Amino acid sequence: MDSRLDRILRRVEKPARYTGGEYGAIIKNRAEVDTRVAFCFPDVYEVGMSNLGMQILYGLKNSMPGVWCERCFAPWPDMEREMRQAGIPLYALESGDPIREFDAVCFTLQYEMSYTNILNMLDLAGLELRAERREGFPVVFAGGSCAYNGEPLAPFVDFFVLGEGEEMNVEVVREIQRAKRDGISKQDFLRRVSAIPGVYVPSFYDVEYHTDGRVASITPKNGVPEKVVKRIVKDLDQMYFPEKTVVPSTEVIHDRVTVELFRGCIRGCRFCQAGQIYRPVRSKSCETVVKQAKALLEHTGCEEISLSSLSTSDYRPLGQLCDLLLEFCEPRRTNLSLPSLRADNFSFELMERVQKVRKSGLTFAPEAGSQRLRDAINKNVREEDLARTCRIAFEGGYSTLKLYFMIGLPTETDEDVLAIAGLAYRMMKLAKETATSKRGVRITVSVACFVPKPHTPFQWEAQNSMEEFKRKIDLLKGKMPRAIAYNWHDPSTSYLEAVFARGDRRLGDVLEQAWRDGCKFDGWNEYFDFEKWMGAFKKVGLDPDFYALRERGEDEILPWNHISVGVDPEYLKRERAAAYRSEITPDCRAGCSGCGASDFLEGGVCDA
Amino acid sequence: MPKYRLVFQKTGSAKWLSHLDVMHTFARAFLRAGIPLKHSEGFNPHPKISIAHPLPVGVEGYGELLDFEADCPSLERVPELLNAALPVGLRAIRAYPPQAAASEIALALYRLTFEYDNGAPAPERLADFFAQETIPVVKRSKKGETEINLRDAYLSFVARDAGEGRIEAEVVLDAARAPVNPKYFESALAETSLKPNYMAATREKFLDSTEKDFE
Ligand code: SF4
Repeated sequence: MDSRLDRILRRVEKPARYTGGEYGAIIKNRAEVDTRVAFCFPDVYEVGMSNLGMQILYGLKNSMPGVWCERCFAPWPDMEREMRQAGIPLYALESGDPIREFDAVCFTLQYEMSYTNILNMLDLAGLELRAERREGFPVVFAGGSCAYNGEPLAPFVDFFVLGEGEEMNVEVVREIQRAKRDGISKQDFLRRVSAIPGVYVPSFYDVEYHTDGRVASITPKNGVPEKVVKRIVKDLDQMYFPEKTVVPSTEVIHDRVTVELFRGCIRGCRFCQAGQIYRPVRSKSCETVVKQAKALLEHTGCEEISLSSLSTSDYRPLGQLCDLLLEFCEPRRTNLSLPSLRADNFSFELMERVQKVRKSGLTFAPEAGSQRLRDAINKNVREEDLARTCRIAFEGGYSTLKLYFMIGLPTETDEDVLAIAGLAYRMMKLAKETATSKRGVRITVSVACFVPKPHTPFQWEAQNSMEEFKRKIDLLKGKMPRAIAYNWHDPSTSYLEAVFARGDRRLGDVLEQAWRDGCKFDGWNEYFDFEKWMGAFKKVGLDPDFYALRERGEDEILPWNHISVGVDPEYLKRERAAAYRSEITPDCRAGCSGCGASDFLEGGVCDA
Repeated sequence: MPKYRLVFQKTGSAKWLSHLDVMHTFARAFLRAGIPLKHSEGFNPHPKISIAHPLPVGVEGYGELLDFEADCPSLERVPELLNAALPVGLRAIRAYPPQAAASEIALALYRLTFEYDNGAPAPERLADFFAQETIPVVKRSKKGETEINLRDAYLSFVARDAGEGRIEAEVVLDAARAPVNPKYFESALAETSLKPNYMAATREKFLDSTEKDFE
């Protein structure tokens, strides 16, 4: 393979993406391996290698005797062209072996706009796209946050794994190992694997539709459960965590060590899917975090460590944790970064403490411009808090402020949209009065188009049309102070996200058509081709508006009706009703609102 | 004079790493190996390492030089400690206090392997080609395209048949002036009957102005 690969690598951008050989990459003795797993990330190397989940599951599977799990990323189109021309099928980075010779090919689903890359990778591997046309092994499965409604991918994957993978992946891979040993058929294997809680085999559920396109029924067969309930890990301190990871030799997006603080979120913002699907909240102890952080920093030699969670400020022992980490980090010149902080004093003081040198970036996500709309989406940030924090920051020399908002939220009026400009203006004025930085403060306002997501209180909502989004973007543009850098997301991307986020399995045909027409890397501006997508919908005969713009009835059978993240749909309905009354719901720490997720825990009570 | 010098190899998959990648990887490897590098002073301190004549991406190196400043407990153990911390293809060979500054490197010995899928021409023909007085090639850089005479870039070119459709050439390149990327030896042949299917390049070692191995 050597010279063959060299001959094409010299012609492609960033060839180091395609060679493997990094420090920490796991090479196993083939004689001791009976099960080979290709862990595929449907985006480029730099994105995939920045993903903590991938590092965890890679280490986990490789900790199993007899199992060799290797990495595989989507080749950038220049490399794909060369590979196809040279007849090199998609290969795994560790061994260089074609992944079609493996026993399992698994994908991690983080983003709807990476779906065509999955099809492209299967094809580049030399595998049939459709699950029904693939006999025997490898089996193809997928997990990750999009798997909670993976229906558009149902025709292509053999099964989904729902929920946290640390325990489930071991069970699944063990089942694959057993199936190979027993020499059973794929169908028999699927029957066996479907018995593992959290495993969802879409072909074991028949879906029927009303003539208007709504789902009429979802019927389980082969004895599978009516509802597949996601898996969680109860005790994060006991959970598998890799103290050795793969350290990229070339630049990646987030080139740093990441350690999770907790899973779930106490806040319950109504637009946020992560806040629902990762319930209930569970923490790692401070000791565990420190131990894992030290081990990873020592192993990798990284210059930066980031603490990850949905809301860092809500980690109870955060102050103590930072003290302990700084003690270790400072002498080694390691930066500590704290993303997802809230706009309150405590968080700011912490930020000051950890960012001794670089005093530049201040980032907050008020999400909505008016207090009324912030209440409606249950984003409990008050402008006073934001202003107080910004004032201290500006006085302390901070020179940039980034504010993130969404438009198209349920109950939003033009007044709410314009309130974004008002808030930005007040921050600008505050900056003028208080900034000590010589350069002044550069304020950026970024506006995203709201995408209603499954398993959230807004799962029934209609998305704003692209025209409506454009109108609101322009409306805001007219009122946004000139000194503020204003940018917005492309509504057409958000529209397609909305289609696939709440799509049913008929959309598989659209995916395949779009891929055949050349769609890939849809999350990358330079490759996103909206017209091609619209052409694919037309050819298949499905209306994208039906999925994005239609308000669903609360009694409608949704395509993910048979999937449970442990949150009671009745709770989602209550939350939706509260949104329409602009009423906030207290966070889980202030009081339980009975979402149902506590049933996962022993004793049935959340330790929020 | 830098404090220490490391001889290292950059081969196999590591040849696709850029100069910045290699610097970054070494900085981390020193840390992983428990050898604390000295850092520069100032607002944005960076580790004190530098690499002489960074290799172009895609070229292998067997005698690359990296100067560094660190508190080394034992210089002899440095290669062993580093090798346990380096990725595939980067290998530390030996560390020593240097006698000459890297700026005194005058020449570099390259090995070029020309691969012909349908049988190689006689090595003399390649040698004759590269013995011509003017060999125009178009050099591409960020500033645009310029035509250079490749013949000015090397002192000697000795070719031999290496079997299996391959011709191997030892080329002494001038390293003191702006060094030329060895890929131009392939592009020089592009429009001729000697055009190979592929050319692999390896930098064997650096030489001083008397053609002795550079230490
Ligand atoms: S059960 Fe109560 S405390 Fe637990 S996640 Fe749900 S609302 Fe929050």
